[in-house]
Amino acid sequence: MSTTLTLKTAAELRTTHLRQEMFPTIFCDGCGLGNVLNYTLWAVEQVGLDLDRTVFVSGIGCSSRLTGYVNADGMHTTHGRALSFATGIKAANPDLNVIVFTGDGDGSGIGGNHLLHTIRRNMDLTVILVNNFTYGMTGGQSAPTSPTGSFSPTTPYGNVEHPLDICELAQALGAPYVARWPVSVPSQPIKSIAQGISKRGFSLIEMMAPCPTAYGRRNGLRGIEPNWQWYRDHTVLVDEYERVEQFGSPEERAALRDKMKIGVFQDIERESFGDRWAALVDRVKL
Amino acid sequence: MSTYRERIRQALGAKVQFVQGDDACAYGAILAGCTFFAGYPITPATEVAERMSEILPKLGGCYIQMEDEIASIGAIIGASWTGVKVMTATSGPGFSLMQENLGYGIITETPCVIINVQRSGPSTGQPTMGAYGDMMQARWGTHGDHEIILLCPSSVQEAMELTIVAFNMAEQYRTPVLLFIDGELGHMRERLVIPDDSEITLFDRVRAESMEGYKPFQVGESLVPAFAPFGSGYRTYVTGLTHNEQGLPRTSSPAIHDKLVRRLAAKINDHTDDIVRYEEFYADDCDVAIVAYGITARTCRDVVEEARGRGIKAGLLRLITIWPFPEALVARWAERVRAILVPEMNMGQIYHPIREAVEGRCAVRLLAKIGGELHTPTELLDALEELSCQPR
Amino acid sequence: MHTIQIDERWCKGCKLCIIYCPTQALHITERFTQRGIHPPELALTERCNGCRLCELICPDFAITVMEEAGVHV
Repeated sequence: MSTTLTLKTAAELRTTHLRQEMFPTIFCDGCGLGNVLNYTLWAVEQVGLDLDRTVFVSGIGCSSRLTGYVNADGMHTTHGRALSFATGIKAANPDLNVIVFTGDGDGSGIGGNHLLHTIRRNMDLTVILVNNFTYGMTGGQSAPTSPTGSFSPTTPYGNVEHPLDICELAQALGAPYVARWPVSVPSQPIKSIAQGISKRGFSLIEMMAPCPTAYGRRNGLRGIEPNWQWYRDHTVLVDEYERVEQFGSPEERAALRDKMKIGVFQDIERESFGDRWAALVDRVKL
Repeated sequence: MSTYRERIRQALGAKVQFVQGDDACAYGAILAGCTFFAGYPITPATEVAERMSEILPKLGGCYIQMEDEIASIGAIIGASWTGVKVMTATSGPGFSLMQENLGYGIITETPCVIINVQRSGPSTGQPTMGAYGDMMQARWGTHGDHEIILLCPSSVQEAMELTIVAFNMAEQYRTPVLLFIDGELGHMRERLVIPDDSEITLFDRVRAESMEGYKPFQVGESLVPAFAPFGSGYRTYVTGLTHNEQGLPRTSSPAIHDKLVRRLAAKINDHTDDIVRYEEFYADDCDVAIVAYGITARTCRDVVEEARGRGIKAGLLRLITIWPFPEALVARWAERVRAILVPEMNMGQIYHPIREAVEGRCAVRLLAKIGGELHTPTELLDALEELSCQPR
Repeated sequence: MHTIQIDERWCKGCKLCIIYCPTQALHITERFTQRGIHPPELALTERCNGCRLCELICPDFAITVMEEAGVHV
C-alpha cells in the first residue's frame, strides 16, 4: 500500500473530509492530535470508505474531540464509554463502518474494562487510541500510561505506579490487529490505520502523541522540538527490539529498557461478534 | 413468508400466558418493535434479559450482554442512533451505574427504554426483595437540570402494556423513558393476555425528510427535533456537550445552554396532558384518599372497597406516571379530601412531591414500609381509619 | 517548482513543518497573522522537492503544497 500523496488531493481531502466550521482545532501548539486526524483521513481515503456510511465515536478528553472535526456521522460520548456506544452502533447496524478515537486515560483508564471486553467480544471496530501519557484536558494529571517516575500535578514527587502497555494487553486478548506508531512518522500510521479499517474484527492502533503543554514541560521536554524528538530517541521497531533481546550485547539490551516498541504487533484472523451473531440468527430465525 | 408482526406472535407464543412481570416487560418491548437489547444480569431483573436473548435472534434482532450496566446503556444509546428501538433492564445497583449515560441520553435526545426492577438498597441491600427506593434517583440521579419520564405499572398485564407506552413516549419525545417495577411484581406470575395488533398503537420517531437546511437539533412546534439515523448521509454530530442546533459543541455561551436545557425540559413539561397517566377511584365522593403507585396500589384498590364497607369514604388516586409529577392532579384531590395517605415501599420519596402539590390544603400522612414486604390491608385500613377522624 | 500555501486561519505557528522539512526549505516569517503568530513560508523555493511532508506533519491542516503550473515533477 503506497502512502504517496497525489498532488492536489490534500486540499481536496480537507474540503471533503473535514467539518470546516469546527476549525481551527482546540489542540495546543505541538500537540500530535491533529496529525492523528490527518493520518486517519488519509487512511479512510486510501481504503475508500464511504463517509456517509462511517461513524466516528469517541469518549471524553483531548483525543475524543477528534470526532467533531470529521465530516461524517459522529458520536462524542461520555468519559471512557466510547467502546460501549460503538458496540451498540456496530451490533445494531453491522453495515456501518465504526472508527473510535480515544485516549490513554479514556480508553485504558476509566474505559479499561470496556476495552478488555470489546476485544474479547471481537467487535468489528477500528480503535485509534492516542497515548500522550497524561490526562491532558484536565491539566496533565498522571494517567495509567504515565511512565514510572514521571511528574505531573498529581504525582509531584514522581509516579510510583507501573504504566500499562495497552498493545500488549490487546495482543493478549487476541485482538486481530494491533499496532503502535508515534505521530512523528506519517506513512506507517496511515498504512496501519488503513489495515485496521480493512481488518474484520477488532483493530487497535495506538498512536503515541506528544503533549508538550501538560506532560512534556513537566518532564524535561521544553519546547515542541524536544517533545517530538523524544519519540525518535525512545522508540524501537518491534523486529529490532526482538533481535536485540535475543542477540544483542548486554549494553544494547540495557538500552532497550528506555524504549517503547513500535510496529505492527499482531495481524491475525478471528471471527468477529458480528459474524458469529449473524450465523446464530440464521440458525434460529423464524 | 410471514410478516414481522406475525413472527412476533410466533415468538411470543400463546395469546394467554401465566408469566412474571419481568417477562411481561420483555413481551411489551417486542410488541413495541424493540429489536436491540443490551444488558447485564442482576437480580431481580435478569429474566427481562433472558426473555430478550431468547426472542430477539428469532426475529433477526440483536441481544448483547455487556460487561456492566454502564456499557449496557451506552450500547442501547449507540444502537438507537442507527434508528432502531432499544431497551435495557436492570435493578438499583445497575441503575446507579447508568446515571451518567442516562443524562447523555437526555441531552442527545436519544429514544430508549430502561426497565428498573427495584430491590432494597442502599448498596447491595436485599437483592431478592421488592422496594420502590429508586423513585427519587429516577428523578435526580443524573447530574444537571433535566426532566425524565417514569411509568410505574401495578400488574403483570400493565407491565407489558406500559412498556409499549414507554417505547411510544421515548420515540415521540426523543428521550429516555423509565419503567419501574419491583422485585415482587417482577417475579410474580399472573395471567397475561397478549393484545392483538389492532389494540396496539405504535409511534415511531419523526424522521428527517430533507437534507436541505436540516439541522439535527432544530425544532418546530413539537420541540422535538427530526431524527436522521447514522448511515443515512446526514452526517450528524452527537455530543453530550452543550450544543447548538447543528449539534456542534458550544460550551461557553450562556444563551445556547439556556435555550437547549429549557427546551429539553419544555418538550416534556409542555406535553404532560399526554404523558401523565393515572387511575381514579371514588374521586368525586371521597373523604380520605390514598395516593399510591406500583404494586402498593393494588392492595390499596381492595382496601378502599373494604374501608367504604366500614363507612369510611375512601378513594384512590393511582399514579401511573410518576415523573413528570402530576402536581395539578394531586392538587385537585387535595381540594376535595380531608386527608391523603401515601403508602410507599420506601421511607417516603413520592410523599414529598405530593406534599408540595397539596400545599397544606389537607393532611398528608406517609405510611412507609421497607424491608421487602408489601403493605398489608390491615395496615392500610388502620391508617385510613385514623385519618378519617382527622379534623378538616 | 513548488509553492506552499498557508491557511492563516488555521496555522498555529508550531513550526513542525520547519522542523520536519527534509531540505530545510521553510522559514518562519517576521510578520504576524491575524491570530498573532509568525507563519512559515517557503523561503528557498529551489530546495523544495515537493515531498509534501510538511503537509502531512501539519497538525492543523494549514499547509497545501502546490505544483507550479506547467512544470512537471
